[in-house]
Amino acid sequence: MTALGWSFLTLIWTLLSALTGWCFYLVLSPSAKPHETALPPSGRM
Amino acid sequence: MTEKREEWGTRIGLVLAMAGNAVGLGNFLRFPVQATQNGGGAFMIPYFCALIFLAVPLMWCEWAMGRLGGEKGHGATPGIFAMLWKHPIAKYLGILGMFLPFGVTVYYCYLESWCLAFSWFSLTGRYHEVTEVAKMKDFLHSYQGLNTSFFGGLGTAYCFFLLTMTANVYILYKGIQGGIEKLANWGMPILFVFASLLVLRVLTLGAPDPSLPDNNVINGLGFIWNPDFSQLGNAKVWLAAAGQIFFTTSVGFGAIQTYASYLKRKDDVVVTGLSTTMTNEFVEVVLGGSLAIPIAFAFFGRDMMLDIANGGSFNLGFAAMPVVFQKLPLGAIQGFMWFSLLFIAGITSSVALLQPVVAFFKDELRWSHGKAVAVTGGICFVAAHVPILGLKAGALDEIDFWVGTFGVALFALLETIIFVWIYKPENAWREIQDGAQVRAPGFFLFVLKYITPVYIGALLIAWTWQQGPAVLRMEGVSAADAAWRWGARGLLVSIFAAMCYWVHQAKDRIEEAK
Repeated sequence: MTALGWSFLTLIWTLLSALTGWCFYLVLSPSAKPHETALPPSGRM
Repeated sequence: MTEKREEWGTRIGLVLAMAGNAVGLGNFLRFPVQATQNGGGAFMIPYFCALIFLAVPLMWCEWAMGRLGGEKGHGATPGIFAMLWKHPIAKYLGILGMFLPFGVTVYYCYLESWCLAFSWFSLTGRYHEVTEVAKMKDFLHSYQGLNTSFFGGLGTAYCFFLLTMTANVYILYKGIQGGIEKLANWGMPILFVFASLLVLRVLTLGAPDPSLPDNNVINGLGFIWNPDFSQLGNAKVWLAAAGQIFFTTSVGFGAIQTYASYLKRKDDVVVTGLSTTMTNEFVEVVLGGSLAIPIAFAFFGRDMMLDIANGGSFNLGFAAMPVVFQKLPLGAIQGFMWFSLLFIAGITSSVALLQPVVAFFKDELRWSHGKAVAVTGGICFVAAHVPILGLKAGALDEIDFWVGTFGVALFALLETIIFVWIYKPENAWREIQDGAQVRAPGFFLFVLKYITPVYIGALLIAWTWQQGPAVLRMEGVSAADAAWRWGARGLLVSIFAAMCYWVHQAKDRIEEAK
């Protein structure tokens, strides 16, 4: 494998692992309760 | 007043079920072949562009639409579109969100049953005398009833298909928490463990034949990852990357809306949705990209690997991989793990693809749960005989083009226009952000309004242009095969017509619940 191939593999594996890990950290975090955001009144029907 | 609908039991269960919906056979079979054929590491540039500009915004739209629909008792897109767009035609356009996932399961359950069968064959040694890729292809074709070298007919394949259909119907019958969520809670961790163990085995394999030191796993990884930047100027590579992202994230089908309709009103969709997309990407790029191609490269070398990859995904998964496993110690166990993980990836997707029709029957026609599941499973079972018996004639490919290629791009464009432009961008954005644990960056509103629809429109035109005329004219199809292909078209038209009738029957309920 070329140096560029290794760079792509390392960069993308790290990025995906970090992002997936961050998402799961938030999902499993005890403070991750659904909450209302301070949004203006919804235009929902 | 709407009656209480089912809900997800836990947030992690929801993430695993949604990830199970997205993670399918394509993560392990289609992605590595596409990457290899389209510039290697350079493929990841258009691939990630499509992820950011196409998949993530669409996924947020579908989650938000689904949650909004569920709040008003609509779990399928006919009702959801009617809420978003007060026009009589909206509910009929929404039929696509039931028709496409159902159309896919008509052949997908059969493909899934091959994985179940081959995992059984791995354990029982049914193919252990077959040690060459060409012979293994014969074995697969014989299993599919295309020759009689290894199987006398379609009987074995049909038994495994019946088992697979029964498992799908049973899971749907057990409901959201008791069936789908439980399947995801057990199945997805098993899939991760099996895939991770196999990746570890691949990465520690080195060069299996010391007399051919260049045929090793590192060069196999290089076969996927070494970038060929000259390919970036080729429109075909950008189309292939966008297509792969489309198929792998399961956007544009209508199935995500149905799962999201079982959310609570204030549940987060931004982070939870992103978690499922990232899980899918992790499974596809990190795990899927490290399995089939590197190990097959190490055993067969570059030239044969090119032949195998050019022969398509099933060639790689069902002909090359079983031969590789037989050359390894404890190969039967590894073969079992490989095909089991494919089966789990398949069944977690097929139940998600059948659920929109079940939800429609329950929510809009007020059928009992048992009746809704029985009718959905029954129609799918009967319809599946067209791709099963017409496999050689290309009936499966015919259905796949209309629902899996043309249909998804058309539906994705429609839902984006309805949710973002007709429902208004500010309302769509508010729906996405409502309840968000971490707010989506404002940049994505611009992406949703302009980039995503143009991206999908370009894909729809390109795919129709590239494949449409050949499929429509049935180029190179014999008269006997054409009859099966017309049969497949007739089947799709019949299913669509039945859905139009049911939506028409439910129009009062759909419109009163807006």
